[in-house]
Amino acid sequence: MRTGIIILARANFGRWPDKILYEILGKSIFEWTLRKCMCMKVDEVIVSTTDRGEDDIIIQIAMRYGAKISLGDPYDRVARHVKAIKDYDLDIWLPVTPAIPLFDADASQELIDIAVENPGYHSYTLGLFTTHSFVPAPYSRFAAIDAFEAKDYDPEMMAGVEEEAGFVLERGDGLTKLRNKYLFNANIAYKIEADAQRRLCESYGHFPKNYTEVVEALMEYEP
Amino acid sequence: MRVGAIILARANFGRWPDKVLYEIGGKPMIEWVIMKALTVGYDEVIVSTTNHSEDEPIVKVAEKHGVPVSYGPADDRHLRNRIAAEDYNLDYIACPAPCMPFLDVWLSTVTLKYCREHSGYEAYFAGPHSDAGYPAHLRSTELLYRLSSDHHAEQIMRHSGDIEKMCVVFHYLDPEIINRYLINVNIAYPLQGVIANIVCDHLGHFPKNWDEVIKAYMEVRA
Repeated sequence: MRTGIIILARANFGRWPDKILYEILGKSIFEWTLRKCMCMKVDEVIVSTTDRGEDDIIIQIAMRYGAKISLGDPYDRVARHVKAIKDYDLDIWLPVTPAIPLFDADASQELIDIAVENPGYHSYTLGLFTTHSFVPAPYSRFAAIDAFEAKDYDPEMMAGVEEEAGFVLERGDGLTKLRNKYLFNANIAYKIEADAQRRLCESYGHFPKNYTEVVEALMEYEP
Repeated sequence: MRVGAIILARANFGRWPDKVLYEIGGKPMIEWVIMKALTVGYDEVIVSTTNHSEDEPIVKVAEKHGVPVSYGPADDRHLRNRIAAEDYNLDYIACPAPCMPFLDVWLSTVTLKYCREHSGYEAYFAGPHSDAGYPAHLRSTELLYRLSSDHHAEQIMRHSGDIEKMCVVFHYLDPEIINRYLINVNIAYPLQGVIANIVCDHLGHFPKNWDEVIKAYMEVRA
């Protein structure tokens, strides 16, 4: 059972070029995210990017931290996921966005361990009402490859998919305590969020070591 | 089939007292949530709170918009959901949080429409990972009963088999949908309240729809 983390990362892409190179406390948000991933117990940490010149900086950072590289289609993220899964022969894979420096790595690790101990499901998630933005959650190899090869993927179509093969881990009172822990969106999509997380970390005095410290920083922060 | 939105709201509760009364764009954030929920097309929109005196301002906001109020125990949100669902004879419930003033009405409407046209599932989710940007899931009242009866154990591991029929409206890994909902609309901490007000100040008004929320996020820095 091979496990891996796949970080799809591109520079100069989308609504905010060079977003993932935005710095918080001296490191880019991509580096903070990658450092957390490199500390997790998985077989591979893979940065998936392209062979375009603007993505050289991504490859350099990935190599500096000892991550593996997978190169693929600049415009098809599902295809890049599938290529990385095949390149490194992963059975369980965790998609992590490169702009999620405050994500809860401990919870994601727990989900990966659960996935390894309980194979056969397509997807694993911490709770039905928690979100991917706080706790990246693993998929099986086939969840991605089947969807990709089915070629029936239409963003405009309301597919009405029955999620019959999901595995949900609820801790404690799953509908309240767990959800309340993850009320802060760790994903940085826009500048306003990056600025907010930078100010939060600066106010806290150091980059939060874990999600408990993230919550502590949020509780202490005074605008 | 009767579908209702139950807004569980308490004042002076938790990490940020009076959070739901914090003003965004000139109104308490719960008021925006009530106003939006009323446009989705639910059969009922209900505010669930307590009869404690500190919750009276919440009741007043609900009454201002003609929304019924359901009362229940202060420290058991599951039971408050059940009481409201029973009182108003609901088959499915949505639970928009009272601190999500920017929530996207469109996706809640899509999920509700899907539920009405494809009955028989125990839960409806907009996507497999129910992100905070789109709090559009619906649960059957039966599921609510079953889960709340055994959800107080210290640690529970649960297979999806417990939810016998679960429907996900949008396929997983859909980049267009995921990208549309990258913003967390939930306001849990003052830092997020400040951001919401920056968005309103930047636009010059409370965002009329989700496209305006995104527009402001694209343009503004904190």
